[in-house]
Amino acid sequence: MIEVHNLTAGYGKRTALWNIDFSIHFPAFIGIIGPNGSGKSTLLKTILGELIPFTGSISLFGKPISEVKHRLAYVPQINSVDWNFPIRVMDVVLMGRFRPNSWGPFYSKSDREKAAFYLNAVGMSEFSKRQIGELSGGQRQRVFLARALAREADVLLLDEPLAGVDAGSGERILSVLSDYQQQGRSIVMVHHDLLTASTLFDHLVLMQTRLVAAGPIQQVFTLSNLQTAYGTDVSILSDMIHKLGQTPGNLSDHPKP
Amino acid sequence: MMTFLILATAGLLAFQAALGGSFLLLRRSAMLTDAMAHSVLPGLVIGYLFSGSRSGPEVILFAAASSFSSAYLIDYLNKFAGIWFEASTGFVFTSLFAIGIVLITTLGGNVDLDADCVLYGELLYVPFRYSSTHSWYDALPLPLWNQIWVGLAWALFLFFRWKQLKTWAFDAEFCRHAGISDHVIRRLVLALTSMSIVVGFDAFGAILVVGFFILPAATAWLISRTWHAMILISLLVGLGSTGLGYSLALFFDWEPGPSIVSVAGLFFLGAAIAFRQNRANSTFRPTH
Repeated sequence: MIEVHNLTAGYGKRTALWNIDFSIHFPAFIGIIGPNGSGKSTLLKTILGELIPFTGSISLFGKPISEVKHRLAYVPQINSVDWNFPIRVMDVVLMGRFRPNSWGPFYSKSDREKAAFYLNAVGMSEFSKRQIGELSGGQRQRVFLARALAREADVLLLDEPLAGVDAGSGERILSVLSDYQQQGRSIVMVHHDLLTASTLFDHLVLMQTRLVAAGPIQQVFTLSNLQTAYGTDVSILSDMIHKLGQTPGNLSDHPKP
Repeated sequence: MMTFLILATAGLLAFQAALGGSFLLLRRSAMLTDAMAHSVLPGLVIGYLFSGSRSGPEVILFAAASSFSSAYLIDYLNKFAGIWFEASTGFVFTSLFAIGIVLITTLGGNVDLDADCVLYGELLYVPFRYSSTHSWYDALPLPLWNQIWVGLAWALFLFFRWKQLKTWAFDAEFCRHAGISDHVIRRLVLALTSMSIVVGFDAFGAILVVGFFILPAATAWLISRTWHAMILISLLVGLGSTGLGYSLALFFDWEPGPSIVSVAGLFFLGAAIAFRQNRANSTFRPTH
């Protein structure tokens, strides 16, 4: 279960999100959506413990973030590292097997096998010996995803994993995420595309610097909520609602918060 | 034998510099070594006044502390006062260097330090400086012992913390999530770097030691596609330029330190021309 209580956070003197309050039971596939600048990434960074909130608190599995960090895995945006770095794809994925107090210079055989397994899961096995700079944007994102999967954490957090990614990579990423969810694990993902959001997630957090709504997608993904968040073109939104009505997905399987 | 002692001293420094330089280069902090090398000076003078010797342990500790604190201060100003990294580097090391010069010139009457040996080092005097304790420690010259201890510290650190270092160098944020403080790793690397700079300073002087740190690592970065290759190539370039530069110095009667660093510079220039396509669009700048 993730509980966000009275959260206000931001950077320096600039407040990026105000008074966020919600709780969602795990396992869940949670989408954080909202227009640009609505504080989606800020919320994710605060959940990760990367950003200290001004006020309020977040707890996961009933504990403060600092105590459950090892149960989280994070897929950052791909522009957050130097892709010219002299390192091979396999070495990046192996970092997912990295444990803070492991001494010695080598990864164990089982770590190597796990890394190879997850590299295969994202369909990148044949690239394992390439230098990372030789990959396309979508392939880079898949390598980052494999690294996070290799941590075998309970909650996977992703920041717009489909941004700037080709269609093939995008499909692969979504199918890996759906497998992950099927293992009873949870995913929290920042997402900008409303059209896919309507079918992808089972829970939504809809943001507009303040919280618009949070909970099961059926309750959140409504015309009035979306209008509050985006304030624009109603016809496009209502098309989407209609689409959502035709694909209810597996919503009823999940307990309501 | 004298040649061997000089080459061993320079070679051990090349080893440390290739490793430390690689990490700092990849974290975009290569010029921090320049700042650290200049900031050795105040600590050196103070240590000298305490002990009266130029390569005793007190001098090394004072000088390393002074050099490390400059790196710490630069990071601090950058992170907490929001001053650009370049700018904070610029004023921290110039201030510390200036303080060092003031100390030398005011207290310098009884201090055997002058601008020449600070800037250019005294590699040729390495074989003549012993601890004079009349023990087994007199088997090797003092500067060589210093290099051995610091080199050993690097080797142990790398062996036991290799995975952490690699993760940190590539992605400090991920390192943090995986439960390792990137600040602690950075400070450990900087602390060892300041030790290397201090023991290297003795032989090469403030300016050349910087070249030693940056040139082999930068050459390797241009050429290599993998992490191991980068470390290995920077080691080879460091050791190769030491051997070649020193031979040239003997043959043409040049100053050995500058000769070694010039050869390293030529290696870098060659690599930059031959492999210029490799790193053509590297515009990435991490936060430090």
